[in-house]
Amino acid sequence: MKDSLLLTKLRAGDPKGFQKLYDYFPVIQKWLVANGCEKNQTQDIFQQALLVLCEKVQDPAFELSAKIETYLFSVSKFVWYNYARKNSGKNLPLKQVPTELLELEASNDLDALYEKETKLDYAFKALELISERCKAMLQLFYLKKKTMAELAKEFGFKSEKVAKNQKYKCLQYAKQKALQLISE
Amino acid sequence: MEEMIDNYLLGLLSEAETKAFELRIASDDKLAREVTIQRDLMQAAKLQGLKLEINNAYRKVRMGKMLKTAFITTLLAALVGLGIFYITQNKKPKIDTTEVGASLPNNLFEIDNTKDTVIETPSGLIFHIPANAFGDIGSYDLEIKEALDALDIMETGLSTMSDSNLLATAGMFKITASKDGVELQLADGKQITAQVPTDEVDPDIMLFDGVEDSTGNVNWVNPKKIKNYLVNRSFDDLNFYPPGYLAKVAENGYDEGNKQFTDSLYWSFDCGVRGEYYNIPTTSMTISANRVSLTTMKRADGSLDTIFYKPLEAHEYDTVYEESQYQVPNSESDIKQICPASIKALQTKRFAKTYIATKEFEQRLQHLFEICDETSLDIYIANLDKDICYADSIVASRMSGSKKEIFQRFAAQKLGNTEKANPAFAKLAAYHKKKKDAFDQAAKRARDKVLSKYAKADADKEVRDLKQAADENKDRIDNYHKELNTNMVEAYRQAGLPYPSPPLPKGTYIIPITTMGWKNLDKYVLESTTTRTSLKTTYNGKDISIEYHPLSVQIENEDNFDFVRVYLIPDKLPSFQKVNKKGIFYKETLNELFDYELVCVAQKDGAYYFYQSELAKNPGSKFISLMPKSRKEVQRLLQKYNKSTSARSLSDELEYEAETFLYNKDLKKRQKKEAFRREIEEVIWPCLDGKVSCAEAIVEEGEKLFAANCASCHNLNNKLIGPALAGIVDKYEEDYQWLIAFTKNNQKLIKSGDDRANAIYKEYNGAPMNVFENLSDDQILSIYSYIDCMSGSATPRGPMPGASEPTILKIVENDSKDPALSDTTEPITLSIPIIPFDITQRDTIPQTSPNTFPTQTNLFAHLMTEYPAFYNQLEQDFDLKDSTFHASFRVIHCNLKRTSFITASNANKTEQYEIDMSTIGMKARERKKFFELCSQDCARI
Repeated sequence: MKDSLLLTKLRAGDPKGFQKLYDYFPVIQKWLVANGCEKNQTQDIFQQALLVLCEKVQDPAFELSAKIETYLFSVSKFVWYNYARKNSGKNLPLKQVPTELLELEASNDLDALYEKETKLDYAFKALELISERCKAMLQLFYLKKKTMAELAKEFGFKSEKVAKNQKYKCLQYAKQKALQLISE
Repeated sequence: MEEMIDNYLLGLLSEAETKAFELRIASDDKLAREVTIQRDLMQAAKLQGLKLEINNAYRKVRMGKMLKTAFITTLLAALVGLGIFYITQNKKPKIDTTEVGASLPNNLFEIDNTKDTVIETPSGLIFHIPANAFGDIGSYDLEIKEALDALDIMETGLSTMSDSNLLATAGMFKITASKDGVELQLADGKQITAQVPTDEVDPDIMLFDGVEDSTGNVNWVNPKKIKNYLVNRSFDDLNFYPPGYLAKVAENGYDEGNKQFTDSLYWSFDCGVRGEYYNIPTTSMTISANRVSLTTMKRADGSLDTIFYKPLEAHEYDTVYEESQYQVPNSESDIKQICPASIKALQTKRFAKTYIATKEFEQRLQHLFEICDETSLDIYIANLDKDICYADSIVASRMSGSKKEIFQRFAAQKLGNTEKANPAFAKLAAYHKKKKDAFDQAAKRARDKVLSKYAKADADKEVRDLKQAADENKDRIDNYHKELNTNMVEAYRQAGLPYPSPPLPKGTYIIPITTMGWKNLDKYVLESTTTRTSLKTTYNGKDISIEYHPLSVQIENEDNFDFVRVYLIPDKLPSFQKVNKKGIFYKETLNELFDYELVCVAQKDGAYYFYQSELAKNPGSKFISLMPKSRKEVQRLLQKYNKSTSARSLSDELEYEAETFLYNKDLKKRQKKEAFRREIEEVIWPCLDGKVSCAEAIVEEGEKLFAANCASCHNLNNKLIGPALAGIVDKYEEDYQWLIAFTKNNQKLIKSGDDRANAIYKEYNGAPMNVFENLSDDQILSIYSYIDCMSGSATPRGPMPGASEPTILKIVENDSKDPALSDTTEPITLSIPIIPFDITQRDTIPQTSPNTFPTQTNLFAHLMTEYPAFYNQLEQDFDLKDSTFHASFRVIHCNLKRTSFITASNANKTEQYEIDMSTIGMKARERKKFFELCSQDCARI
């Protein structure tokens, strides 16, 4: 699959696109293991890197300056370095310094994600406090830009209107929970 | 309200609405907070959704992996019917239309039964079908259904059950042959070979036959172990060139697809050539000053004219010829490169049925090229009678680093041999050696022939040039003296004085001065003649005048000719004069006392063009057109101008010019050809001046030993307790036995009164070096090989002479007990030499070799320019002026990649950095090499 095609698929939320990204995993895993990462950790690290990529892809103006594989590799490296620094006392406390433009980009993207996650911490918690169904509906609506008609079909609502009402109710719940979390 | 905020956040509001809403937000804190929360929720939901998506994808991928295809070269014996879905006749399902696998696409092939056929299905299955596989039936149809991935398998409703056991599958396929609707059976003794592609080979994969029961389920029975035969290919389909060779050929504008050409080019390199090139003259010959004495005269236009005084004697020509013989390139080399002759010898008929002629070997060979390891190649050749994995494991055991892993992986595939393998193959090694030597000798001879042809052409050319220069010189001097004499006589005549005789002696400028009074006049005439300018003066009350008139000749379409020569033939002078070109004009001045004829000859592709005319006393400028003439005609026309007084005839002159032209043309060709060969040579001998040979096992061993035994007192580039060791191998290369002896027991040497040992002892104020009687000679050599590699000498070499090579036929059991074959997931960073490097001494660091970091005397300046990001980071983290600041670095090699780990510390903290410096300060070729190696190996360790 060409990178441009892959990008389109990722943007469209095509599961095949995400699956394709796992082709790059073995190579990255090898590197991670060789650099001191536990084998069962590699999956998490890689997924984190995927998240950085997918987040980035959401921006329609985004253009990749390198091959997706190379980019993923760079991000994974930085995820691992960050992880290792944070979580290990003696083992490999290396500070990776970006030496190339791509690495700098990867490192910045990763930092941006970390920052975002910290900022959104309360929102995540709030979403965990509402029902699974609600959560799924919000995810589909915001991430996949599903229309109310599609949501109605997927969740078995009678009409678009019901779906719309349900969605706003879910949002309201989440907001209430979020407010509570903030005031605590 | 939520909807409104949503619409705002999603950008669904119109511009006016957005503005209005933003105004409201600005004035309403509560609303502002709600918007923030909702935005955060929205982003959080998105991120969560993404995470979920990624996780789901992972699950699907894992599912798919469990059903991953495996590589089997299987043998489909001529068993019950053909293929896996053979449905037992007595249990045929009631309804034919619900055949298992009906949903799979059909791959139909029409096969000509009279030929061996190879077919490939869309998903990469390859079937080799011999001629007459189904008896003598003409053409027939072959149908192949394949279910190689999980989706296909599930869609067809195929199970992977063998009785009640669940099987892991590497893919399923059904193969049926039919003619006119009648199913065919394989003829006796015929078999079809199937190749199923895979990423990984599972040695336990077996072949099952499919039997459909009455309910339509397929049961898998009759498991057969798969024999991993390697499939022979034609050598034409295999790429046995060093990596990058074809690309280099294409890069230079040659046809890389022309195998005949690429083969003959590759094979024309003999084993002896090691970067020493035939010395091609870059410009036409210049005459060296010690052969003829020179003098320089100034001409009228201010240019300098060189006159040769001493013509060469005949015996001197021979000397010149002898001296221009070229040195034959040194055939001794200690790098074990893979010779083209060796590869050529492999591509002979006798190897066509061995595993040499397989894709699998092709793959291995590419790696062998990269490490320049002929010995490993020999191991493969010596074990042709055994399974290829046997050689794989031996080779793996003598490699190191990433290449070791590669060959371990090869060995782990446990690939077998070809179908036709037999014990006689063991004898092919001797055959190969013989052939290789023969081919190499042939290549050498061919090359020598070319080189001696070059040398002869160059020597002939030099002889021609020298003779020409000498003759031309003689004529010029004769002409000069005669002209001077004529002018003198004329001047004396005009002055009304008798000209003193005898005339000027030949071969000198000394003008006889008969009385004091004549001095000035003589000088004027001499000067006038020498510079060929008019003289106007008065002497003795009389006007004296010698007239020179300018001539300038331009030739029509001069650029169209290969060369053009213009000559003047003065009536009273002993020889002709060659007219030199200035800009686009041929210019000369004509003496009024002579009559001149102008002759102009040109050549184009061997054809002659000619012009001739008598010149007026003051011709000014002329524009002339040349007329085509036959060679004979030109010779005849020139005959008229040949003077017996002249050392050369105009015909000789022309011949010389034509030969020179051809020589220069040929020279240009040669230069181009040799430059191309040089470029190709870099690809063929990749280890020539790269550092790859340093990746050899012996160097790695030396690295470890150095770290364990030497690093406490020695550094490569800095004097610690003991001297810096970089370059020491170059210093003692001639006498490495002494170096070993000294290293082993310097005390003994000192006591024995050895001069050098005592000098060193004295220099270090009687501080003795540790004794290393525990190290063997080989171990010490490996340490010096390592030091040599790290020193980055201009001519890197392989292991030091005398270092022992691992024996070729050491047998390594290829079961898992051998640690070399066990799964190695350990990082390669285990044996890193730590090279202490003190950053605080930055201004006293001596300039060291370019391969050792840092190369600059001022490390910080170097960092600032070369690694600004790193430098900034360092500056951010530390106060570099702090006296407690200290930094050291250690280097990890992975082939050509050097990754430096820098540890910086001050009184308060310590930080570690990693920078990859491999791309800087390396030659372009090394860098390319590094990218090749590291993108494949190191980055993926």
